Amino acid sequence: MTARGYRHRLGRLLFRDRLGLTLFLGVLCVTLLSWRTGIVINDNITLRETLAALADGHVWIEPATGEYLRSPGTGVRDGFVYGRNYGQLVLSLPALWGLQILDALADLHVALAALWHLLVLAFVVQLGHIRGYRRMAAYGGSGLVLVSFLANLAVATSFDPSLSLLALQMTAAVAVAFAAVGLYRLVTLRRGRRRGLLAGVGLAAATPAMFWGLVPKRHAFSLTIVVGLLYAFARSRRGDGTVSLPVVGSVPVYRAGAYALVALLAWIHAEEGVYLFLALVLVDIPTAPSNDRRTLAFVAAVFALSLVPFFVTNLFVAGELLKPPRSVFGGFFETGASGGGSGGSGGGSGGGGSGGGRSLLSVLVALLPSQAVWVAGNVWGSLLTGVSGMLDTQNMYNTFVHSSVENVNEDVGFRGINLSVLEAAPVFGAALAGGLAGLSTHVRNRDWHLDPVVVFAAVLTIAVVLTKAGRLPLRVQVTVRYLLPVYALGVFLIADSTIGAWLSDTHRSLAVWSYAGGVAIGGQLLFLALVFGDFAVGEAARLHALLGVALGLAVAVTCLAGLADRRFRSAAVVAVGLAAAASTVFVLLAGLYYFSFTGEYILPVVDFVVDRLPSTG
Amino acid sequence: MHPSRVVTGTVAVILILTVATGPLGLYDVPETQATDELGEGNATITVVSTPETIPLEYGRYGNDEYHLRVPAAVVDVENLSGNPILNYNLDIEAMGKSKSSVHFLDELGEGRQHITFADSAMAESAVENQSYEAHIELVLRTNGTERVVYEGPATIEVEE
Repeated sequence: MTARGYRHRLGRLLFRDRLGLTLFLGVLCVTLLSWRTGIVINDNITLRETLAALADGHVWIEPATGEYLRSPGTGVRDGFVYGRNYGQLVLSLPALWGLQILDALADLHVALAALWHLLVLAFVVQLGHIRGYRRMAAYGGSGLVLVSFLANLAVATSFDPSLSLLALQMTAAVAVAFAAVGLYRLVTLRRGRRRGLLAGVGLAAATPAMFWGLVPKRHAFSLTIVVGLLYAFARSRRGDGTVSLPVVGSVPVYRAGAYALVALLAWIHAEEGVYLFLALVLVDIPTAPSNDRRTLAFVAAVFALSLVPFFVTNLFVAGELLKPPRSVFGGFFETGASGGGSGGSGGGSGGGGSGGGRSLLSVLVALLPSQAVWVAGNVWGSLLTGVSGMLDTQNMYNTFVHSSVENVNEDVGFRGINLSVLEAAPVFGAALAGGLAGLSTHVRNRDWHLDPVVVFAAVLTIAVVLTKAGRLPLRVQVTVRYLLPVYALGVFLIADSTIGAWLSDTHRSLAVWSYAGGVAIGGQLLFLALVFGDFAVGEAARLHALLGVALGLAVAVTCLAGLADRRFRSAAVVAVGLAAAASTVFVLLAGLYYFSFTGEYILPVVDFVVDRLPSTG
Repeated sequence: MHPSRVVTGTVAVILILTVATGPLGLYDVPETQATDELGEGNATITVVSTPETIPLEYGRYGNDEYHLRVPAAVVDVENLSGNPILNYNLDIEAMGKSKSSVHFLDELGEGRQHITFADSAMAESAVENQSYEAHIELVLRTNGTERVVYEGPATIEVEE
């Protein structure tokens, strides 16, 4: 195959087609507009230091002597300080190496600005290909990008940021862009490209996902892995879910891929991995096309292989095969003790200790049984906490519908932003109508076969909520970040439903114009109100919350009305467009205004403009 | 010209300009505000007006914090050289709180300037009285010395 052939194959594998590539580039460019060099949440420090340590070739951060690192998320074992989220960090290593090369070649500030401009150029060119105006895209795009780059070059000043932090941010931003592509591919599979594009754009525009693309915590990765999981599941249920390999014959790659993704998540955050594993097994085994021995053996083999990095990391960090890095910090599942805490120390001493048995086999043989009991105990305890959390209706209301002010203000300095799911993504008001639409289809056709993909999406939602339900409300959430995958699942369910058809097919231009108008006009009006009304950030946050609830309600009501009578569909589409605009405006304001104090902007012109904006309280 | 040639050309230009900032040193990117210049220099400050009352407002739209909105002090800056620093300090003894805003005169320039004070938020539990006595200072820092340009009392009025 020619070089071009390989490039095309890789492109198809990653993005499905040119539209997917364009979506990827577009989301990445908009996300990186707000790219800043600073720390937003404290445990970013831990991740930054651990990544730097990994790049230096060791899993520990530094010896725990004298004045050592004590940021949130570190733990000390055997005289060394360890971090967490090793899966995420390893994924970020290529970006770090790339940045180190860039730093040696050119001024880093200029180089990163150049990178962004090249991405924008690529986006414009690809858009030109798709829409058929290649010449205009090439000339116009090149001209604009060049002018913009020169302007940035003119105001650029050199800086000295942490390369590890930048690498973490880049990788997270790329992950979020891939999540959008994943939703695009998933919905295209089921409903065609128009709906697929709606889903992909919807994730970026109508949810705060892009905000989390620049805060290097695990949430961007949980988001993408959950989307990948749903996609792999959907793919495996179709006729083309298998691939023929030379020796073994026909193997279910997508099904195995789903388990591999779960293993990847476990490497990043063990607890979330466990919950997603349970969710996957619960839905996968009963609904699988075939569960014969060969299929299961292949899936199990791939899963076991994908878990190797997880086991190896555990061994090096916590000293035991099944103990994730977080257990070094204190307790297996972050809270410390939920029925399994005392069992943990017992398992450690009973199993021969961390120092002994570097031979993998002896470790396995000696430790596995007591370790398994310890893990099971922890999982059970965590599940109980999660379920009781879900049954706390006040808590669930505050998390999903309308946030309560009391949850946040332990830390007055943190800007008081604590939006609920609906407030951050008012489009989810359509979820009820979407569900009812689906239900009525079943009733009308008297067809009670459940769509396994929709069932899996619902189970995944519950699983994700369970991971944190027992411990919400937590501080410093901004937009309920622990449940970030739920936003993607919500977008999927809405795009997949009849409401999605209204937005992408029947009332497409109305949707686009409502959204565009909402962002351009509504966004500017809101900004002016913030400045002239002398809003403090805490007050602005509550304003966003109220706006979110109001729009969410409007969306819910109009969508339900639209189901009953098609004349209301235009109103519903306008409401959804405005609701999505509200989310976009929040993300833009958060990145360019509310959190502008966290470091210098990568794009010098953005830095220049934001510095001259009237500051908030 | 063929569209892809234009694009390739643009990419080449961007790459060349970028690499020019590197070890080849063809184009030197200026450092961010040279730190050795900070606090060096001098200026003559004449105080025009300073606030007498400072509102401490309760948050709107359901926000349950108090927000300190210190009015700007107005000064005339003359004979500016270098980059001296002007500090706007606020001290509230009864609350045990001290806040400060920093201004670089090089950025502000000469003439009549509004010295602003960044809004800050306080927890509800920290505010008990209807008003508090506060002490305001404008301090000029030049070449390692500090000169108090203005100091005086102000009253913080708590507004619901």
